[in-house]
Amino acid sequence: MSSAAFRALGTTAEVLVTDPARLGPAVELLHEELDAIDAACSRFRADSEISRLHEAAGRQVRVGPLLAEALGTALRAARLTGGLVDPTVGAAVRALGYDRDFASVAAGGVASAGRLRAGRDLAEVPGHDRDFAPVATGGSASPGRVRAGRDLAEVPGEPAPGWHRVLFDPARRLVVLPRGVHLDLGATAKALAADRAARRIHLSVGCGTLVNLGGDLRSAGPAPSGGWQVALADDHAEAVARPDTGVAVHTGGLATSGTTRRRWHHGGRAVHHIVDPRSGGVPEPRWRTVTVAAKSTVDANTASTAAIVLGTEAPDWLTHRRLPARLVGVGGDVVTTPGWPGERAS
Amino acid sequence: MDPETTARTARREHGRRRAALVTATAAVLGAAAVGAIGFGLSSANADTSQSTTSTTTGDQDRLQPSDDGLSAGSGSAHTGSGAS
Repeated sequence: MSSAAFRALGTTAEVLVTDPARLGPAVELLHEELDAIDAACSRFRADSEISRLHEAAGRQVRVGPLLAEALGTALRAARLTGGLVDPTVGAAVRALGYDRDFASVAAGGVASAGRLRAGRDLAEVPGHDRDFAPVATGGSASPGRVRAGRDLAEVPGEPAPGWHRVLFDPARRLVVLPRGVHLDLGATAKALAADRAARRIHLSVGCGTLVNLGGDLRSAGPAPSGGWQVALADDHAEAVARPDTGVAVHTGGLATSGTTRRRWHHGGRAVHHIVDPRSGGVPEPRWRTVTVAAKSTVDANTASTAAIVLGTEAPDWLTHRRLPARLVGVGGDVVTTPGWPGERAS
Repeated sequence: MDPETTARTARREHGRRRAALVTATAAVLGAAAVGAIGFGLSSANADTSQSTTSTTTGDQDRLQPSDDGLSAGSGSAHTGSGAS
């Protein structure tokens, strides 16, 4: 087994292959896939295809195959969650100050709103405005991350316009985005990238492959004996070094959504990055993290994001859908749904 | 005609014109709707599965559980998952 990691989409991209000799081509393919998804779907790039779609609001636009797939994926997620995960939440997210590159926040830099070019940050990355300040952890250089979720209160907002307002013909790839509707494909697009990349790499290099994009994983092809060993923790970047527990992934996808990272102050209140489309506000978190396994990373990510929005209702919602999940409460309590394997000591 | 009959006739004529206008408007709107449908655009309420062929093959009407894709962890971790 061999692996390589690099920065992309505002997070860590990692590829693991069961045949070390195939790592080089696998890395190249992952770069290609991530560059393509970023060029199509990043709302932080003025030259992205989705930015051009926003500029053409109110008019019919034929989009490229990848943006069409990402949009279809996001609309499907909205439909299957009853709007708990809704791509039209873009304006609400921006209103919370979530409109710029996270690296510029950490550096204290100032960027022109909506005109970021560098960073290639497709994933949700908080920005800042006049009343924006990242939540830091006791002086560490980790803006946007805290140890616990108890300091967040519910923050009101305006409801998202609603995914059903997007006119979309997937067969012809025709889209009409109504004026005032802003898309944020971040969550589902990153998961889609993991699905696409893992499958493409496996088919190309011919060995077992795992792609991990900021904690959203997809396995393709034969896994190592015993499965891909995945450590779980609040922060994906520290999971291997300091795991809370571990699980083995044999097939499909695994995704974790959480409220302990990508946090900042807006209007004097601490907020996190998962917005409830029904209210446009940030819900008071019940869970620090929710990890879900599913057939694809898109479905796992869709369910984990919906679970954060749902709060206390999440375990029943996930159980009803037969999705194995592990939910860690803001107080550290752990709830699992049927199908989730027993915990092992870390 | 007496004034009352004249007024009644005028009201009937006004009613006919109004009904004709409503009918014409409905026809125009209907034609526009048919045109839009014929052009292929529809609300996102419609099934969008055609564009997700490589992501979620199979049942598009529910989130898909993995088939025995998970077991208890053992050994050292290859990678990690958590909030990002």
